[in-house]
Order: sequence, then structure tokens, then C-alpha cells
Amino acid sequence: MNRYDHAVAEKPPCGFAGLGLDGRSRVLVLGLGATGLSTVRFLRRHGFECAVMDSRIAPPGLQDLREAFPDVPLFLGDFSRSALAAATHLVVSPGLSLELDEIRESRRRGVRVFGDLDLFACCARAPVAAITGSNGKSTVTTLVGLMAKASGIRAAVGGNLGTPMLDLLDAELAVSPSTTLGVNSVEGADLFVLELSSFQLERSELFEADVATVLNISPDHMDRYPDLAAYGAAKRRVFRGDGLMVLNDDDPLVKGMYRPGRRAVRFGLGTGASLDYSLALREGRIWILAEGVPLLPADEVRVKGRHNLANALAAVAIADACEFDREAVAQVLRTFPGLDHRMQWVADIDGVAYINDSKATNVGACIAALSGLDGKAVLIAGGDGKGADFSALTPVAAEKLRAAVLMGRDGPVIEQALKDVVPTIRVKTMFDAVRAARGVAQGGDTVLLAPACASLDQYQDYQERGRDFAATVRSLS
Amino acid sequence: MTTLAIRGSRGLVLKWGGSCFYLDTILLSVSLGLMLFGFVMVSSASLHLGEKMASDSFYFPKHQFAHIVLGLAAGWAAAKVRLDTLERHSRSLFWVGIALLVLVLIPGVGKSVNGSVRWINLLGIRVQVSEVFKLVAVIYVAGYISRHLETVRTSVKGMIFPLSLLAIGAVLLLKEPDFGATAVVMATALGMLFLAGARLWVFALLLGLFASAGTLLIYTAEYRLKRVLSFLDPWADPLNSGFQLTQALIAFGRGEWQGVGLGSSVQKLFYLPEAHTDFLFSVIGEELGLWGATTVILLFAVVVWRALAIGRLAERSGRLFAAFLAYGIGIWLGLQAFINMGVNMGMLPTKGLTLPLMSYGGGSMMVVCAAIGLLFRIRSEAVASFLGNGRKIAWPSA
Repeated sequence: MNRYDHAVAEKPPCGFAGLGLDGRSRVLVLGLGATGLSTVRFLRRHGFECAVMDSRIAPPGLQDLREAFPDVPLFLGDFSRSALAAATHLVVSPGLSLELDEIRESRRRGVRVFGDLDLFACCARAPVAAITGSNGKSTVTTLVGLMAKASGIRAAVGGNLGTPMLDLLDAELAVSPSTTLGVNSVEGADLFVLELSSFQLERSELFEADVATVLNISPDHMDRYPDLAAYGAAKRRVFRGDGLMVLNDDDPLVKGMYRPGRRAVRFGLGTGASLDYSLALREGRIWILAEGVPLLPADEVRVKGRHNLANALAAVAIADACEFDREAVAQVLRTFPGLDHRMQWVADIDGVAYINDSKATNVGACIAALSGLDGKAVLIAGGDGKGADFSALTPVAAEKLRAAVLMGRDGPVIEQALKDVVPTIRVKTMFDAVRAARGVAQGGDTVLLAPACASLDQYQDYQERGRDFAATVRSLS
Repeated sequence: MTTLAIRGSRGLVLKWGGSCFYLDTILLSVSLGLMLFGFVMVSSASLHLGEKMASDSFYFPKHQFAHIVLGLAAGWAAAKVRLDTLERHSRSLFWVGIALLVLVLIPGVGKSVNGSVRWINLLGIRVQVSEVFKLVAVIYVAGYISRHLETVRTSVKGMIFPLSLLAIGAVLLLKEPDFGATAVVMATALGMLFLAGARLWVFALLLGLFASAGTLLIYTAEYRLKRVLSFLDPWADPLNSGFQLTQALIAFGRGEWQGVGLGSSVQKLFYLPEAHTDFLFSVIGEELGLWGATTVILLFAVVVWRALAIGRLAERSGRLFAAFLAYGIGIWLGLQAFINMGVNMGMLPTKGLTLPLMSYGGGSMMVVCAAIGLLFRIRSEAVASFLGNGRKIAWPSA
């Protein structure tokens, strides 16, 4: 278990010269929001001249920026050609495509274009564990962060979700309580745990993780990528450098990312002997196996669903690479209740488990949620379907569902797809939905909110929908 | 120690101490031009009146000169107010405005002129309270929009709330009564909310509501109904209710293309009441003809263009309060000038609205100058955000 040696060694960060940044640079931050704000904070902390450009008139974070940095020039509303012409560097927010004409034009003129990840790579002095994938990255990132904490390692956790990664580099910011992930660093982190999106990875040239994983690849953000291969290629950049690769053996696209000569470990839900992290049947129970050693029974893992077992295996693999305490790791898996609105356990009423997966805003996520469940389920689905084709739900619905309760604008559309295989109930409100689900559920069943739809026809966002579900369930118990 | 410098597109840069003021030279020359033009015309229109009322031909020019000096002082003072300070006090200023509107209605405090109680004495200056209220209303709405942009854009409540607060002011204004100021305040607020991105159907609904409320108000007050009727056909009763308007139209007719020449107006001598205040534009039409009237219209168009351009600059530099303040001032001044000129030309029913910067009167002059002073401030702060004070490396402005 000496894989971590490389990571532990204090490595000199490449410094700003690697990005061509110096006292004469004019850095234009494209796109405000939390990431843009953290970028400005970072650049100003290091004395660089910067300005912010955003196509929105009132982008999120504007008030905070104006208060903290009243002298940072803002170019809002649309892209200012003259500001772009004046800039020597562009830091592009993950929300913006690099294929925008203005950005291409700047690139042609030799302007360095990158994202916050490269700035991070310039300055991070501690080892980095990087986690990406289509689904489950937040869960795994949070798990690894909690495992580090339980093992007494000072880890700074953030990235795509939660604290922006550049804020993790600032000791003062890092000690302030994190909003989303609930785990955050103390001053002077020993380890960075980053959740990275494909957009953050695709605009990075310098970032090299010490431990990296791609959890899975499924079609997502197809509005921004020409095909699945391009999306996968963006994700694969997390493996740049010579850090340890943590590979999902069950995902053919991820499996294919292995390069001979690289140090790698594999995890998978199968029981194949070649896997470093897998499941195995011991004394009638399914155990999580870490390098052949049973860690804990799978049913003791608090987060439910097969996809969460895969997440747990990935987290254990990363934890091992970072030499966390195995007992602490097992304890975190036993206690971590899951992230809000992601297969979150709400209540057990009359032997029926109520699970909130309001985050399942597309068909794929709904299928993943259903296929991970044991036993029969009553599905609550519907909302704004974004024009999706729901027929993919039919096979798993036939296998897993006792009934489907459908609400929201596209409830009828989903009903069309499901009515031949399961009984369906149409309702208007969440209250009626929960009541109807309770009426048909039998002991041992699960009532699952996995809408397969966006929430915007009835709610502010998926969080509000999830909260409404949880509150309604609790009011019934 | 003030130094001046002219640097390319940045316009005039005033420096004192370490700070810079980026002056909008176009707005400066146009507003000074309007003031000067107005002063000449007010003098021309009022010499005989001064003679008659105070046995001093120069009674009104002297006073108007003092108004201009006071106005410049007010503009100067407004241009020195930091916008974040103004934003912080936007709500309290609004309530001060409301308090003034209440005060003017208290018998003994408000001064009645021509049947309306519109004036109070503040430090020896007769101030038309509705003028002050227009400015604080614009400041308030700008503050509201910058605080609640999302609500304004997404919900009906976001539009109703500021308008219902303004409605308190509107009711008080109607008590004076001052229908013109009410219309200007409400229309300006609506325009600002529209620019903020309020939902179109809500906007249309409110517009319809205001239009019908306005119509109702016209029908409920006899003098307003009379004005509207005489506006529709001033020649039906040219010696009585249609008198002012027909005389104004005669003035324009006499002016033809070139005008009868500065000082040669006949209408101002007796026929046209309020020639130096609300009906100054008619005198311009008579003495300087179509060319003179067109020049005034163009100058006001430039003022509105500058206000909107400054607002855009502020919006693009992330200063929402400043942006909507500039938009509001632009809409307000443009609307008021438009209504005044429309009234003079018989296109709109008669209202007691002055021609900004030009008409005789101290209160209006000071308030409008203060508004324009704010425009200067808004531009300077926006430009400064790109160039920075003492910044090593400057960014191009917008």
C-alpha cells in the first residue's frame, strides 16, 4: 500500500508562470456566479488586475462582488469586444462553452483561456483527490471528505459543488462553514478532495490529480458535447499526469480509459477476482471487499441503492489510496445518510420506507433509482418532462413497480408510457400523491419520489419539491 | 486645486486631490444650452409682465437668473452625492417626499395658486412639492428595482408593491390637485419597471388600469373634463375654456417657419396666459418659428439619449441602482418635456407641467438640475469603475 507515497511528497506547484500570468496581465473572468466570485477573490489576493464579464445584467453573486471588490470593473449585459481585446487571459466559467465565437476569437489572438482548475493547479501544495463522473460525484466527494475527517486528516472539500475550489486555497475562507457538503477544511489542508465537472476538466491544461476517478459515463449535457465520446474525453482529462487511476470496472467507457503503465485500481459491483474493490458473499451476507479484506456488510451501508454501493466502493478505493483509517471509513459508510434529495431516506411508516430522490430530474436518474431498490416500489413521478421520451422507463417499471403515482404537467405523458405495465394514479398535488402512494404500498415496499422530470412547473426547484415531499410524509406519520 | 484634462472618449476629466470626475460634455453643453435658451425666452416672454406686476421689466429675468444660480448649485451638490449613500437613503427620502405632500395640504402651510395648493415655502424659496416628489419617487423606484430585480421580473407582487406605495403619493398629489405630476410619476415608474424586465402581461394590465383610472379621474373633476373637452375642440369656445389653447395655437401659427423674431411675440403681451412658465414653448414657436421649436425638441431628445446611454453604461458596469436612476430621470424629463410641448401644440389636454430647465420657476429648476447632476454622477462613477482611481492598468470603458 505504497501508492500514496507519491502523493504525500510535497510537490512544488507550477506557479503562475505556468499560465503566463505576471504583474502586467489583465485577466478577464467570464461568467460570475460562485465560481467567478471565487476566481476574482483569488486573483485579487495574488495582486492580479482583473475584470468580470457576464452576459446577464444581474448575474448571481453581483451584490457580493460589488461589496467586496467595488473597484473590479464589470462588463455586463453582453460581451464587450473592447474588454475582450484588452484582456491577456480569460478565465472561463464552467457554465460557458469554449466554442463561443468571442472565446474562439480570443484564442486565435493568442490569449490564454483556462478555468479555475488551472489556477488551482498553480497554487495547490497538498495532494489532490479528484472525482468526476455523470452521477454520484457529490456523494463520493462528500464520503471521501467525511472519511478524511474521521481519520484525522485535514481535508479541504469542494469544487463543482459546495465551496469553489479556489476558496479552498484561502485558509480564512476554508475555515468558514461550508454550505452544501457539510465538511470543510481547517487551516492549511493536508489533502484536497475535488468534485470536478466535465466542463472544469475540458478547459484545464495543467491540473494533475494524485488520485482520480471517473465514476461512470452516461449521456448528459448532450447540448454541450457533439457525442458521448467527446463528453468521455473531457472526463478522461481527470487522469492527466501519473496519479493513481480509480476505475469503474462495470462501465465499459470508464474501463477503456486505462493506459498501460499507469498505476490503477478497479472497483465494481461484480464479484470478479480481478477487482481491487468489489462485493463478495461471506457467511450468507454480501460484504464490501477492500483489496480482498472484508470491510463491512453491504446492507450496513446507510445510503441505499446499488448505485450507492458503487459510490461507496469508489470512496473506499480513494480512501485507501490516501491511507485513511479503514475502521473510520467503515463507520462513515454506516452513518452517512446521503445528500439531500439524492435517495435520501425520509421515514419508515408501517414498514414502508419513504425515499426522496427529487434530484432525479431525468429519465436516466429515475431508472437508476428504481433499479437500485430491493423489493417493490411505488413511484411518485411527473413534473416538467423537458420533452423527454419516457418509454425507457417501461421495462424497469414492469419489474419493480407496484404502482405509479403521477403528478405535474407531464404526468399524463408518463402515464401513457406506464399504463400498460403497472396501475397508475393521477393526482394534482404532492399531498394527494403521498396519500395515494401510502394507500397502495404494502409492508416492505418503498415509496420513491424520483420524478424523472424537472420541478419548475410546480416548484421553485428540485430542493423545494423534495422538501415538500419530506414534509408531507412526516405529516402523515 | 482642480485640474482639467480631455482624454479621448472619456470626455472631460476633472481632477481634484486624488479623485477624478468624468464629465459628460455632451450632456453638460446641452443642459447649459437649454438653460440659456430658456433664460432668453423667459426674459422675452416676461418683460411686459414684470412691468405690469412689479413695475420692473427685469423682475422675472432677475429672478430666473437667481433660479439658474440656485439650480447650478443644486446640480453641483447632487453630483457630489455618492450613489451608494443615495441608495441607502432612497426609502427615507421617499417618505420625506410623502411628508412634504401631506404638509402642503395643511391649510396655512401650503400656498394656493390658481386654485391648486402646490407650493410651500422652504427657506424663502417657493417650492412646488410635486417637483421634489418626482425626484424622490424616481430614486425610490430605482432603489426598489435594484433590491428586488428578480421579484420584479417574475412576480406580479414585484410590480404592485412599489406602485401601491407610489399610489399614496398619487392620491396626495391629486388632492392638491396636480393631475400632471401624478401622470408623470406613475408613467415614469411604469417605464422603469418595464425596463427592469417586468412581465409584459402584468405591464399591459397595469397600463390599462392606469389609463382607465386616469379617464375616471378626468370625468370626476369638472375642471379636468372641461380641459379635455376644450382640448378636443378648442375652437368651440375660444374666448373661455378654449382660450389658452387657441391663443397658443395662434402663436405657433404666427411663428411660421422662421418666427416673428426674438422679442416680437404679440401673444405673450396679453393673449397667452402663463407665457413665461407652462406656455413658454408657444412663445418660442411664435418668435423663433418652426426652427426654434425643433431645436428645443432636438435638445431634449439629446438629454433623453444621454440619460439612457448613461443608464446603459451603469447597468453594464453592474450598478443597477444607478442604471435605473438614470433611466428614470431620462423617462421623467423626456415625458415632462413631451407633455409640456404636446399641451402647447394642442396635442394633449392642458396640464400644469413646466418645460424642464426652460420654464420660469425656482423649484422646478433646482429639482431638474439636481436630477441632471445625478446623471453626471452616475456616468462618472461608471466610467471610474473601468479606469479606476489610481489603477495601474486601465480597462476600456464598456
